[in-house]
Amino acid sequence: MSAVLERQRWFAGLALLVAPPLALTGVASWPFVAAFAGVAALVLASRRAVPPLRPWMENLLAPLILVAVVAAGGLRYGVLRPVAQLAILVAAVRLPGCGERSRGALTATMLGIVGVAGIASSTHPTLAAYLLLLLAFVLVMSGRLVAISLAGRSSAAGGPVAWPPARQVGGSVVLAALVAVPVFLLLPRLRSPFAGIPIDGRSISGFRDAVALHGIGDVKLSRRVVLRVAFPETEKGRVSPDWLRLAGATMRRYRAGSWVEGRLHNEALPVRPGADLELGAVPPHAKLYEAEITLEADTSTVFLPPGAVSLHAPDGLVLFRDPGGSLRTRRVDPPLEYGVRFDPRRLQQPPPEAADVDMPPDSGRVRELATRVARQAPNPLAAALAIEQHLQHNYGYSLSSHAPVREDPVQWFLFRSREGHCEFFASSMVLMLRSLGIPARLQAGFAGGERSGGEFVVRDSDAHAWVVAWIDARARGRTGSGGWAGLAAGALAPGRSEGEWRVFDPTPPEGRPGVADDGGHGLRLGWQSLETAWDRWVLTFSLADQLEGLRRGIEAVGGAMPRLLAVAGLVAVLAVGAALRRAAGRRRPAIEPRIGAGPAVSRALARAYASCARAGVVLPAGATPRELAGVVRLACPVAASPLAWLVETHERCRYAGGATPAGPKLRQASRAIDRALRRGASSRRA
Amino acid sequence: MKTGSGVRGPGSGRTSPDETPADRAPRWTPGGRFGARFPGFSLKPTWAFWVFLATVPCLGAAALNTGNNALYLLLSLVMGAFVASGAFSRHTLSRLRVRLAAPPEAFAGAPVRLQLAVTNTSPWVPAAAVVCRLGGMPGSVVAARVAPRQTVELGLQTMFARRGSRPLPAVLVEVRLPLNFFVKSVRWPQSGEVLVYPRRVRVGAIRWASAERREVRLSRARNGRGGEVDQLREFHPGDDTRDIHWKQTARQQRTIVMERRSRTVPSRFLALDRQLPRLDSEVLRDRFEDLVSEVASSALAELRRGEPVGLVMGSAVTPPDTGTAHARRVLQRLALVQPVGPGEDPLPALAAGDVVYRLVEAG
Repeated sequence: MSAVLERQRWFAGLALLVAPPLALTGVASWPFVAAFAGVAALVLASRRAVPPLRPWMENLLAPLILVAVVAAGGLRYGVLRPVAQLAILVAAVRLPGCGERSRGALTATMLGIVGVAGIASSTHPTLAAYLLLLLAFVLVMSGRLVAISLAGRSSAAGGPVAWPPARQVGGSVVLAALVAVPVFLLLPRLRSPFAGIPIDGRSISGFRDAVALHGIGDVKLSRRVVLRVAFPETEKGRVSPDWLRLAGATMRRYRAGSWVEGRLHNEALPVRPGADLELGAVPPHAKLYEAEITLEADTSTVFLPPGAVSLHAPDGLVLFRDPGGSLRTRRVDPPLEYGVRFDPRRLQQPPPEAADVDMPPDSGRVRELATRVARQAPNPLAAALAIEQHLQHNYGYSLSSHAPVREDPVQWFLFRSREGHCEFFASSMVLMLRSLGIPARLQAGFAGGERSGGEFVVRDSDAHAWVVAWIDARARGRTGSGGWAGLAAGALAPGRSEGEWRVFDPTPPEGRPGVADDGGHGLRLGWQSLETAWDRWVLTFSLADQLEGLRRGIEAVGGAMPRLLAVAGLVAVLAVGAALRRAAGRRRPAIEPRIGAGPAVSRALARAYASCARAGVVLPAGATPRELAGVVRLACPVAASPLAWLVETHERCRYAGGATPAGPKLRQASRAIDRALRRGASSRRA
Repeated sequence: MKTGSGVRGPGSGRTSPDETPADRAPRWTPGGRFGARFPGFSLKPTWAFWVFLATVPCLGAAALNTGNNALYLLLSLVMGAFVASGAFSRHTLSRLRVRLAAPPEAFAGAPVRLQLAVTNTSPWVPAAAVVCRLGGMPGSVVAARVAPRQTVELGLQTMFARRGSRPLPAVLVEVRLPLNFFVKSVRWPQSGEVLVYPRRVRVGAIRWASAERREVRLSRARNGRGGEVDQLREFHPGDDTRDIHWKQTARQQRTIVMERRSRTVPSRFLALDRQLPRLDSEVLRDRFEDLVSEVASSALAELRRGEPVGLVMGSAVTPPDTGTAHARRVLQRLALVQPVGPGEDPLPALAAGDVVYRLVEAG
């Protein structure tokens, strides 16, 4: 296989690898992804190097690509989507001929942008495995391309082009993952000031007590466990799905595309130790049910089932009630367990006020639509049901629709996109009811859950928004504007209206969370735990978590200070010891300072020194063996030969790795030197 | 030829004066304590590194701007891959050992193949795409893969530019994998020398110093220690014991030695005058090199035809002889000959009137 063909195949393989997240996350439209994957598959399957498109053809395709991107929505859905679609098409055009060196860099850049777009849009736990797979692929690809490049350049390649070693690739992946974990935890999660405009509008969020329709996130994709709910006094099969409609916030004020409630009028609730907190009046002959709720998410909202009349909270819990009737507490470490008694047939809400029929300016079209939809309705209940059904049947459910920043989201949903998520449906119904004079509020919380043993597990993906509307039984006559007489703002004073709050859910069934049975399978439970951990520690990991970790770390260090000091002292002592030992090792010379303490050849040399001293041969202080040999050659030539052999042998053994001669040979040399020196000394004396 | 090789620690070797472009490419060489700890280590960023350097801030800005944890995850993994790549390439490089074997013979200006042994001492990690270059000389080779605790033998073709005793060139070992962010290299000096014979050139008519035939006693050092066996006789004190004919001694039960006959060889000498008119002239020195190449090529051509050739260089005389050993001896002498000034080391009288290879200055 030629180098160009192999390069081409690796790039095509990379293109096919980055394609799946695009399709699964919806960051790019299907036709774009299909075209991209098709070109990549063709290039990969080709048995010869595919030539690049002719320049005139690329020039012709360039404006067509721009037109396609604009036609697919342009900047309507943010920046990421058009950029990804543009990169996909450019990459598809550049893939033919990508084996050529001149085209490889741009193709790789385009594929990189496409890959980042797909990864940035992914929230599934398999993203981690995908990233590791992608890294392994890039490592193998890099290894092959480097080997091919070297084989082409080297004057004499050492054999066929080899694959990168599996151990190196696997080890690199493992090491990279190990390094990535602390880096991921330590990278600061600071949102910069220029992040005000949502680039893709897909931030992750579950329940929110301030619904901003511009920025709804992938609520349905988050699998974090928020609540566990058990109904101890009720049989398993008799739990109604409506009981799992757990409200966390009730909102009345709609301002510039957002539902926001002030916190100025929060009412502190007296919680007596050991006693239940009364939340509302218990009607006579009402049948009450009991729920035990465990709040596992770190939030200040206390979620309650419909018609909650009393709350049994742990001692010391500080509770507040906001104007919408929802309960809040100071943020406490999860889990928070509390019990609730509730009457599911009677919704506990403060009576309607003027704010419950308040409409934003320029909402004439909404009123027209509501009037047209409810023109046949004889009473407010029928009107509400008509509007609920109209929204359920004529509008689509979608998580990927995001309202343009400059438009009112409700009007954009009702008249332009005609698809959206639960908050769009609920907001639209609230405003349509209000336009008819029916007081209505938006309620956000969780609806549904997953049966797990004797309890229900409620996740972020069960977050939902619905409508509570005041249905007045007395209202019969229509006003000129299409509303109902008797429901004007002035008639909403307490005691002037007879009616009740009722729940409406205009979201189509496919967008409504339900009650699901668990499989009871170990693998499934394990996967759920994994999803929960992924949500908690990856998707929703934030600056607050980092600060919390830092605080706990400081506390842990502070608590264990005596032990840490002891360990530090021990380490310091060990380090000083190691340093001293190392320094001593450095000071130690390469040879023994005292000749004679070393191997046999050194001892033989030491004996020669001693013989010289006995024979009266005067040596300079610290004489080296060679100096010794030189002095002896002059003083006693007979001893020079065996001494020269001994010195040479000594040097060879000590410094050149030579073998030590046999002991008898050394002793023979020593004796010869000693004998010659003694004879020389006697002759000198004579 | 003097040959020999060995392995020393990396980095402490000499730098060749004539470096190749690859050696002159910008590289980062550590100094200070790091340089002392990793001698001979150098680092050269590749285009992949610059792409990485440009990508990481962009990715970081995107993650920071959007708060998207998937982007943070990707950024972390990219940085982790950078660290892993650095760690693995450093590990691979530190576990590689190279040993260069001197060639049996090398002529200046002619391609020669050196034997290179690449050893991976790592117990676990294989090395791949290891490039070995010769420091200051052309030639490189790629070891596609070196398994853990194994040695790969590779042939590396190169060329020595000049004759003489040359140190074995240092070997520059380069690794790029796993991610090709850097070309990390370490320089392994090689101990040992190569005696490079003079350059081989095309020769014309050979200029012989003397052509008369005369008796030459063959050297004892040569194979057979003399000519053909002339006769067998009884051993006399003083005879070389190596001349004993053991079969006849055993057969006759007395010590028999072989008496050899000297043979007549033509006394043909190539005489090279080492004296230059001026020693400080580069031109003359270059021409002297050409002269040496011509003499060496002439001698080699004659010896290959089986003709005896003697060599006279200054006062040193190499008697005429034939054979491979004699050719090697002649080439060794010509490889090491150096020019001298006027009046130094003149040619002996016997060749004074003969035709010699000598440089004279025109005019």
